[in-house]
Amino acid sequence: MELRLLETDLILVERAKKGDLKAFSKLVEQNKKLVYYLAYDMMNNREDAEDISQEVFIKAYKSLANFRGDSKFSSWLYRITMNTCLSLRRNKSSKIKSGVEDIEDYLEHNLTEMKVSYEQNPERFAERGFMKKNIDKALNVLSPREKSVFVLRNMNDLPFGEISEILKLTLGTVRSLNFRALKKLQNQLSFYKNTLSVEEING
Amino acid sequence: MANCKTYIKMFELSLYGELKEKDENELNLHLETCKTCSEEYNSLKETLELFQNREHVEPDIIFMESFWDNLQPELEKVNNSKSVFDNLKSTFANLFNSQPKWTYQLAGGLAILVMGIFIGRFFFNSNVATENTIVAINNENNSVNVSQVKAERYIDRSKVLLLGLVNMDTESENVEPINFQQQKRISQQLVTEAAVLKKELSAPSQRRLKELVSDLEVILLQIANIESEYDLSWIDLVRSGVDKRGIFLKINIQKMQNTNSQSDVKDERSEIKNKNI
Repeated sequence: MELRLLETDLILVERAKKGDLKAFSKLVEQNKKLVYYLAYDMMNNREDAEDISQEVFIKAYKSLANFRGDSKFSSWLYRITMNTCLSLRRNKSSKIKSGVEDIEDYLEHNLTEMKVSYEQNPERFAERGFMKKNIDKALNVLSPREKSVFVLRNMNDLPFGEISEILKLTLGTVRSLNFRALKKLQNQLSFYKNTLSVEEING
Repeated sequence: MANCKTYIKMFELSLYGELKEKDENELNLHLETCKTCSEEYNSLKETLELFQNREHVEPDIIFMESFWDNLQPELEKVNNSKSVFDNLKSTFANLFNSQPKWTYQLAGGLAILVMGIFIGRFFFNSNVATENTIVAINNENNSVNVSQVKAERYIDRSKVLLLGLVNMDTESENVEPINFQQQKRISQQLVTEAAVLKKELSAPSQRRLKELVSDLEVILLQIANIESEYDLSWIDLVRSGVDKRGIFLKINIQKMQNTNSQSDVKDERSEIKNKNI
């Protein structure tokens, strides 16, 4: 089934390379939601996720000639998505830097704010939406590479091997980045772990 | 019996269900007896589950429904620009294919002839005596000049490398990773050369030149130590380093000073030539 799907992808890609937009529209249809999810997880922002998911397919179409079929088409799209997200993130953090001394200070400030909110109003803090927001904020303590690996593995369910292909990192590096990310998140979220539970998060 | 450290190493594989059954059983036995490890393991598991079980935020329905309609005009633009490029390509191909083969051979032969004349005039100047006099004058300032020339070459090479990086469009459409190995290798080489060069630039008149080499060394060291071609944030660091130290301004000032001193030397040479004539 998987193999047949890959073959279909390759046929569609070959047709799209020759300028067949109908073929490309099928590839878009198959992958647009996955690209959106990933962009959202990376940016925590609906507008950015929408812009990025459109941009990814434009970039992909322009660079179709570079897709040699060594990996899955979706992996290749994921790679473009990650690059686009990181590029946007870099732009945004340089803007933040001009306002706040340093990105680390900025993140530190946000996390302190989270802790204060919890101590002042634990009931509000326990509200589902508020918690989600703070989990998203916690993800910001990760470095771009840690976040990329963690998001792909744990929020988009990609195997370590595929992540290694997408990010062009060794399997060992991917694993160690993922575990380092997990430890950081554990540390950041530990202060309200008693309040949180999986059921509450997902309602 | 293994200690806690051994079991902590198993945590990651166990959390992703990749631990062998035998090791998993052993880990479970340990977790039952060791409170510290058990708490750490459960805390990691809870954290992981928070993210793994989180539902995706669904996109806006209207956005998804109009996804292709919004995308299509952009892709058509790409198709149009591609076809313009293809037309140009085929026009050039036709132009070159229409010429007979002997015209290219003739053009190649002429080019080689012109190059030969140029090289001959450049290297085999008849006024050897004058050249010898100039060489003799040059030798007088040799010790200073050799290091000066080395420093200039060093600055030129560094400038080319930095210009390439500073002007690199990190937001470009290129989706493939950029290989910076060559830049890294050249930077490492330049950093090594800098140490020797700084020792050679000992004359008081070369103080500024020495400072410039030191400034370049710091920037090049950043490039020499880059870790990943995937994360390009180091390029921003290089850019801000170049900006802060006013590297390009200093290089330009240095060039202007060199040009002035070279024109002095040229005047001196032409005076000698005139005397000989």
